[in-house]
Amino acid sequence: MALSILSARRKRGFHVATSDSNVVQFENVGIRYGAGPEVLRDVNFALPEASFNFLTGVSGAGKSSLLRIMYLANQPNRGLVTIFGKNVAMITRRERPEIRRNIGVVFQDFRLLEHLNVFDNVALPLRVSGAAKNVIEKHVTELLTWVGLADHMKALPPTLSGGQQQRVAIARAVIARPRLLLADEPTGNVDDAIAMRLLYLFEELNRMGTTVVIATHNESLVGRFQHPQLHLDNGTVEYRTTQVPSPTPVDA
Amino acid sequence: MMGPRSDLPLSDNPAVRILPWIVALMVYLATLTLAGGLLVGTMANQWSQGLSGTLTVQVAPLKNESLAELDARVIQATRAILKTPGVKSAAAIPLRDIAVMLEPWLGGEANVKGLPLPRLIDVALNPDIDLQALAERLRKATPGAEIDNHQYWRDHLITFLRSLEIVAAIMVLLIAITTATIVVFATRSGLAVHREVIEVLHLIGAPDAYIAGQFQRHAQRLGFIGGAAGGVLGLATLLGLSYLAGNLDGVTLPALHLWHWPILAALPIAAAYIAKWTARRIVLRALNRMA
Repeated sequence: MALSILSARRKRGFHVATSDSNVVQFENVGIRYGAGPEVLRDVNFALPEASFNFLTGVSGAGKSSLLRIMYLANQPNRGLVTIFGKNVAMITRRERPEIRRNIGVVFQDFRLLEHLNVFDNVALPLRVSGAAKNVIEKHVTELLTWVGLADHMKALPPTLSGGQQQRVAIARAVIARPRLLLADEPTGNVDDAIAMRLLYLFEELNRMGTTVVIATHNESLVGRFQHPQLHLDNGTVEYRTTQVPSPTPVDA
Repeated sequence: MMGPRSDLPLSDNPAVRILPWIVALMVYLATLTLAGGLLVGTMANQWSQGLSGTLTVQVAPLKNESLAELDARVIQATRAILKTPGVKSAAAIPLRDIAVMLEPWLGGEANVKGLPLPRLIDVALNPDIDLQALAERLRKATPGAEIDNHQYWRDHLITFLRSLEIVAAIMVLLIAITTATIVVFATRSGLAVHREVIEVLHLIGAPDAYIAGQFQRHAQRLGFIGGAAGGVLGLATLLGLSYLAGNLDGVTLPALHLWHWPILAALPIAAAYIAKWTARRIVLRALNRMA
């Protein structure tokens, strides 16, 4: 099924002069909490435009901390981070909303607005950027149908199962077709069939030019795709561009 | 209270739910205070324009003048007054009545007989009277006749009325400030209660103005609901009072002009805008500090 958010032209107007085509770049980044030791140190990597990346590592390795910097919720304690070619330390309050509208985030704890129904939650990014009513109606209905929540559009998030809430969160993150999609354990609460369907959605978005980062500790899922991995281990990041041969049996 | 769709559950906040009630009370107080101020202002204007409707002309006795001569001059003066355009009526007050008025000071009528008492002419006027012309005409017609338009007493009365008017204006201003202060607290409490939702909206890319818009629309709505209730009650009170005043025969109380009513009816709208702009300012300032 074709989703019109995937075929629609990306809205114009967001242009940042970039010296290179990296959407995200970390240089010698260190993160610490309070006065404690650095939980991540000497982090160096670059994510090119329209790349699809997994962010792996055991839980507690710092995946969410890294994502928080990418969606401008935290600042690194050390080093240089650029998003869309902009140094995050130099981004002003005024510039932040526009940059964030180009970043879709699937939060690990979903962060759905509990008093808004599923439709309104997913419509939120479009409303915030002032989209027309009929466009919102069309795109949200389509996307919710696609993620299998057509019958739950008027439901409030607390009445949904964890897996359903997760799909709402994903729909909200992708509805405005962001340039950068960050997903924190987006398949943690769904069965494998739905997980594959959601990853397919991310791949479709990626094909349209969205840079995707998916944090997961589900190594078997990662193994089924030929995508580079940012692997967090021992407090730093290893960027695995060449894929180790999949351990999945050929006849699977 | 169901309202238009909002991204923030702003009504789920006790501090906000009490807001319409307080605004209603404030607008009620403001309506009565403002009506009082407008009435007092109308009264002061009437007095300062000499439009109180009456004046007294005094004809002082000349030296060695007989009673008959004085009577003749009083009649002459009364005629001159009656010929002036804008005069409704003029009547000389009989000597007997003057004696009665003076009795507390001078004793019974018998004692008054021989005294050179001034005579008084009671004059009722139309509002469009030209007092200068009247004085001019009177001076030509009858030497010794003087208009007493109660200048001294009137000046003091007007000063007093103007002071009341200023006090009323200050009270309306204070009520407005109080209303704004309540909105400040309700909005701050809303910001604290909905902190997490605001954070999510920020992460989704909502600009501060979008979030402020939600708060200001809500505050404006509550301000208008409360204000309308208070305003209707205030106007009803005023109508009741003016009905009771109309029952008082013979006493001319100043009444509200027709154009005063729309001013009073605009108070709920003013309350709604005070609520709106206060909420907006507070939210934008708080969000700016959140960094």
